Amino acid sequence: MTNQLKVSMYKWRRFWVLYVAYVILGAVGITYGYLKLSPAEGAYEGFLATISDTSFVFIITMVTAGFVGSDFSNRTIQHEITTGHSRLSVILVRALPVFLSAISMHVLYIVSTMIGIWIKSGTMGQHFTGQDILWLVTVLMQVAAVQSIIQWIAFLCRNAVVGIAASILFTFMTCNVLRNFMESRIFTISVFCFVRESSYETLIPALMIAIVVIFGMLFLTYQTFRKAELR
Amino acid sequence: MEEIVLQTKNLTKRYGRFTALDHVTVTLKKKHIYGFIGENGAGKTTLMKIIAGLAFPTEGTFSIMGKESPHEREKMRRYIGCTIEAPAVIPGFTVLQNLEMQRTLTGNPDQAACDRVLEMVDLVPVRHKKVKTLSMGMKQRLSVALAMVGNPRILILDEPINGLDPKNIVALRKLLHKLCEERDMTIFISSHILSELYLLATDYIFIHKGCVVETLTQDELETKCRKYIRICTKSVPYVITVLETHLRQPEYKVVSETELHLYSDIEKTETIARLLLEHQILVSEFSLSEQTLEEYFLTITGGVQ
Repeated sequence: MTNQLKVSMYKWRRFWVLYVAYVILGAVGITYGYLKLSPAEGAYEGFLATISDTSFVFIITMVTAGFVGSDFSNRTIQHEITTGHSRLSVILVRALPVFLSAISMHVLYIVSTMIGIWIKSGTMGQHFTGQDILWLVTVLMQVAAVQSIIQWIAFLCRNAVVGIAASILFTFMTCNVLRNFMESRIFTISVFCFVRESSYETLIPALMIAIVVIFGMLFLTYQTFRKAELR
Repeated sequence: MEEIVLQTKNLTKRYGRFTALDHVTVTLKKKHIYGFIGENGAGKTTLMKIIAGLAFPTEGTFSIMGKESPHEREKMRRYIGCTIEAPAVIPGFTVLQNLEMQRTLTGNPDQAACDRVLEMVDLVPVRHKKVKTLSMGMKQRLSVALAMVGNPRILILDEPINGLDPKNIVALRKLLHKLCEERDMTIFISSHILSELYLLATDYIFIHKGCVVETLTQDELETKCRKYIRICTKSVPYVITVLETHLRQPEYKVVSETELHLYSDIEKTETIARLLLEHQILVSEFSLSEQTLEEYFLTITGGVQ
């Protein structure tokens, strides 16, 4: 599995779509922070405004579905099977770069927004608390949980283009459209609505749900893929 | 006794009502080159995919290096190098990058392995070129290189000759012979170019509509490929009359309006030639011929009317 992971990370580092996504999210963040946010409270305002923002999750989704799907479209995934690696390890070695890229993209969006507002105000404003760190960790786990669902969709579609289309549609419906209609407690702590407040009553259940979703989706992906026939 | 490296027992694969493989039992021995022959859709690729772990059998079992349980088989696959259908490569990566990734996946610690296989398949000049810029033949050779970079004991090659020019076909043939001889490798190769397989294989497995119809060694094939007298003339009906009159139960086949193959009495070529001469039959060609692998395949699969 170590060799598989090396290869997966090698491909991930050379996945150009990831860098395009970084540039877009960085530019959007800085522009948003600089033009749209009030400089009264400093860079911390940018953190509050973007930590639970799901508007650009579709970009993260696109990278995940593209990264996983390209191995199916190029048929390079068959090399891992034919060289004696288990199907479970095929899933796990993809989950790591997928989670890393998703988390780094969301962090980049938050940080670039903070930079945008800091350029304008020149101040950090309020200081971060331990609770903010837990909030960030919870949201990042939620980001990873959504991407574990996207990874399952990509393994289900087994084609880069179809996988990207299905994943973007799914993300729009859950993270962007659904929030306009659902305000129930269950939805606010679900992985489709990144937690909007830093109270422990919300963070703890949201974190637990995110962890359960990650493991649940990895299991479901394995069940989907373990008997799948490859082109 | 020769070592068995791969064995299938009653392997069956069904897709709904369609049976792609029907109780296929084959045994591959160490240091043999098996030519796997069948029409399109006969089940060649399906069998290769099952062995490689890309598909699952509906019934039956198989063993790799004597290991039959699915978990052990999975581990044994590291000793198999395969290329199935079109080359599986990342088009945006260079030839060397694709090979290095494959070497890492196979766990081969030998860093010079990539350069060595590139040299074997004559791709050294394009090692830093992106795969998407390569010709079909080059991609095909890269695909063979990918199968070899892990130092496998069994090589499974599905239509590796497709897209290769004559020079590279000869080079690949020499390479496979060398690998078999020097590294004791077992090679399982399918191709539609039967004349090429004839020069390459030591054994043949014929598959038709999902069933293995015959397994032969090179010697057995040579014995079975029937010899015949080829007679080309514009008077085929008259030749038949003469043969039926003068020979006892002649066995022949009318190939076309101007060609007839005589399978019996082949030791009497002189007598038959004199007979045709005596009856003043104008013959444009009279020769002793042998069935080719292609003709034998068509005979056993009923491909010739």
